[in-house]
Formats: sequence, C-alpha cells, structure tokens
Amino acid sequence: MRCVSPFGVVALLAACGGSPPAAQAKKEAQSLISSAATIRMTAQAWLSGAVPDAFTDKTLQKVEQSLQQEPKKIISQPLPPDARSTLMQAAGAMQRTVGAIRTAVQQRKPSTLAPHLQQLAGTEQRLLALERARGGQ
Amino acid sequence: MKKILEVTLGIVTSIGGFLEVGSIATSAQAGAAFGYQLIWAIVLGTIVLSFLVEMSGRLAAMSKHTIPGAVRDRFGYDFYVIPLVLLTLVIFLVLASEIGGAALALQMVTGIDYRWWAIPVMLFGWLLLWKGPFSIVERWVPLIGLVTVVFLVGALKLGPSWSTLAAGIVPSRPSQDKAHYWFLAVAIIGATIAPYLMYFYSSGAVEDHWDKSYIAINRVIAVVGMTFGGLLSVAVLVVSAIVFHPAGVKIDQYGQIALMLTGPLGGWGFYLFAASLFMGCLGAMLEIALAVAYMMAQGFGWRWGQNKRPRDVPRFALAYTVLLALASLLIVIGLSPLKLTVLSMALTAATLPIAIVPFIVLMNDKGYAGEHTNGWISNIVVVITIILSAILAVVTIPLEFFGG
Repeated sequence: MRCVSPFGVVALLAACGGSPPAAQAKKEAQSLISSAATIRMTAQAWLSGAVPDAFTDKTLQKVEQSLQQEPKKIISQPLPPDARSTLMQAAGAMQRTVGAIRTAVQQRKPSTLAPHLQQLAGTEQRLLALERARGGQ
Repeated sequence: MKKILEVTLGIVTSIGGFLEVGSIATSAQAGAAFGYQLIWAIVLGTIVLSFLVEMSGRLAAMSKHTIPGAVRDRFGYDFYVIPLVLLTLVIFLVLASEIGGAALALQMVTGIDYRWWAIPVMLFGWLLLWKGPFSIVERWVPLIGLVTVVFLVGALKLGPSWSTLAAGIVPSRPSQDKAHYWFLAVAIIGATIAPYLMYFYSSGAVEDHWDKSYIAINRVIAVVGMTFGGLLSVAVLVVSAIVFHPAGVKIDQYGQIALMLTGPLGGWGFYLFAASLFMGCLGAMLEIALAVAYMMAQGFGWRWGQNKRPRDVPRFALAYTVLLALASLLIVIGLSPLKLTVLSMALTAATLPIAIVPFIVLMNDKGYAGEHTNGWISNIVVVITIILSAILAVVTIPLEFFGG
C-alpha cells in the first residue's frame, strides 16, 4: 500500500484551491462587501455615540489601507472583464467614501455623513448583485 | 463551609479567567465567517479541557507533583527537554498575543497606537507577578475578569435562533471555504485546550497544598467552571454570528470585533468589550508567564513558587521576567496581533500531542495517580481529539497562510 506524505496532502489541497475566474470574482466581491459593511457599521456606531472618535478613525484608516491594495489585487487576478470593471469601480468609490467619512469624523461633523453612507449602500448593493451573479458559476 | 467557599471561588475564577485573546478572536472569526456552524469546535474543546483540568488537579492532589515535574520524573530529563523547548516556543507566541490583546484594548479606549502600550502592559503584568502573591493571579484578576459575562448578556439580548444554535453543536461540513473552516476549527480547539492552563492549574494546586480531600472539589471546579467558561466562548461566537455574518463582514482586524457589542449594548458595549479584552488578556498573560517559569523551574530543578519572594526563587523570577520582556518586543516591532493570535492558537493545536500524551501516560500510572487513574472514556476522548486536531493543524496552517 502506498502512503501519501503530509506534504503531498498539502500540495494536493493547495492545487484544488486554485479557483476559476468566476469564483475569484465572487471572492473579491465578498472581500469588498466586508470592507463596506465594516465602514457602515463603524460609522453608524460613531453616529450613535457608541464609539470614540479615535477608535473610529483608526478602524476606518485600516479599511482605507486595505482598500488601497485592492486595485493591484483586482488587476493581478484572472477575472471576467465585466466583473473586473465593477470591482475596480466599487473599490475606487469605497476609497473616496471612507476618506470622506474619516474627514467627517476628524472634523466631528456627523451631519455630513448621510450622503456618504447612502453612496456606500449603493456600492454594497452592486457588489451583492455581482456576488450573487457569480455565486452559481 | 470552607470547602463550599473554595468550590464557589474556584468555579467563579474559572469562568472569569476563561476568555482571553485567543478564544475571543477565534470565536468571533468563526461566527462572522460561518454563523453558528463551528459551535461544535468550542463544545468539543471545552469537554476535552474539562477532562484535562480535572486530571491536572487530580495529579497534584494524588502525587504532589506538577505536570512538568511528574513528566521529568517519569520520562527523564532527556525526554522532558523536547516538550519543554517546543511548548515554550509556541506558548511564547501565545504570550505575545495576550500582550498584544491587552495593548489593543487600551488603543481602543485611548486612541494611542497599541505598539506604545506593549511595554507598559508588560511592566504592569510583571509588577503584579514580582510584588503580588499567588492569589492575585489565581483569584483577583479572574474575579475582575467576570466582566466577560457581558458577551452572554449581549448574546441573550440579540436573541439567537435556538434551533440553529443547537444544530451548530453537531459537526457539519461547510459549503464553501473548506480550508478556512477547518483551520478555524483547529484554532478554536487550540485556543480552548491551552496546555499552559494545565501547567498553571497543577502548579497552583501544589502551591495550595492540595491532597486527596480535594479530589471531589477539583472535579466540580473543572466540570462546572470550564462548562460555564465554554459558554462564554459560545456567546462570543453567537454575537459575532448575529452581528457580522449576515452583513458579510470577514474579521481581519480587532477594530471590527470591538463593534460586536455596540448593537445590543450601545456605548457600554464598546467599553465593556475593551474591559473584557484587557482583563482576559492580562489574566492569561500572568498565567502563561508563570506556567513557563514553572515548566522551566520544575524541569531544571530550580526553586520555585509564586508565593515566595523573587530573591528566594531568583531563576524562577528571572524566567518570567525575560519571557515577558521578549514577548512584548514582538508587539513593539508591529506584528499583526490578530494574525499572531490565530497562528499561535493553531500552532498550539499542532503541538497538543507533545504536551498531552505524556500527561495521559502519567494519569494511567498508579505510581502517580494512585487509585484515581484515568477511566477509558477520558483517555479515548482526549487522545483522539488532540491527535485529530494536530493532523488538521499541520494540513490547514500552510493552506491558511500560504494560499488555499
């Protein structure tokens, strides 16, 4: 009987992990949806006075930093062209939104947040639609 | 009356000292990514932990030996060095995670970067060990750690779906992200079955001069305390599953986890989360630093004892001092606390057989456990769980960190 080494199992599983473009698009959309939800939840917690300014800014800064890496990631992956374009647009829009929300937090202007959150909700919807569309493929 | 008080205090401190950075991070990640689906990993880990903690106390009460002392005595110094080195390396990473967790809790409240807090947190912990008696670590810090019950309050306030929650107790296969699912299962088990806890518990029992009369007390503390402690981990997972899973949040920074209680508890939720994280990490940090110092002192035959003055146990005190200082440096240089936490928990799972198998052999040896040797159920449950966890950890750690 032949034995399979643990390294062989790892290599096999890693090879199985290589996913087709549609699945990659879904994964990328999920990553952006997660960032959008984090921005929304953090901003809403700040609006309700549940979290301090510094915490809000720091959390949003981390999301902003990860969003800055997104275009590079999206370009480097084998994605369907329409999905790539939607993802690029969403990443760009979210970068602008999170920047604007951070400014509002730093200037303590909660009243200016509503349009940014609305814009974010629109981006989130487009990403959810993309995720659903790529889910079955 | 005294014994009832001891049992109550033992149970209460077990609950207050249960949650730490590993259990909070892994349970929150699991809830966000897979809803209630990974509750079984917490339940399994808690059952095994109850068995192991009970065995640790039983060994101390029957043989007056701590686990490291007994392992060295039974298997010899040459064998003892292997688990000592491997476990010290892994536990060192866990210690750094705990310092990082406490530093992050302070960052959340003050806004000052966690790297600046690493050294003050380490110094505060070191001072408690250097100046304080054993009761500070054993009783007072875990008592304040009862603030972690806030997760249970949050979970109940959010009103979980009890039928889905019950379904999560039975292991099931995920529909997607299989490698991540199994990695998280392993990390949860590693976070729950922490060998340092057993070393600390057995050393504490020896410091408190346990004898045969403590066998029943020990059993009650282990079963009730760990069960309620495990319930707190389940509560973290439930809150995360309700708050983050439907929104599609994937936990990749502690800032996200800190939002989990703001929904059900508002501003109080945020500050109570930070307090829970800080107290949980501080308690674990003290226990880990002492556990490694115990391991070294008992293995090398140094004088040891947290109730003794540092000048009377110099090498023991030096061991926890150096360990704390080095671990805090990992945080100062800016290692990601969340990644460090999850990796160290999975590595803990991978090294469990090295820590536990010799211990199980001891617990089946009448020379150590007397007439209270292990039953077959505890032997089988513990050995199968730790070996399967270790195999899964070896397979899933590379997949999680190097692509899969």
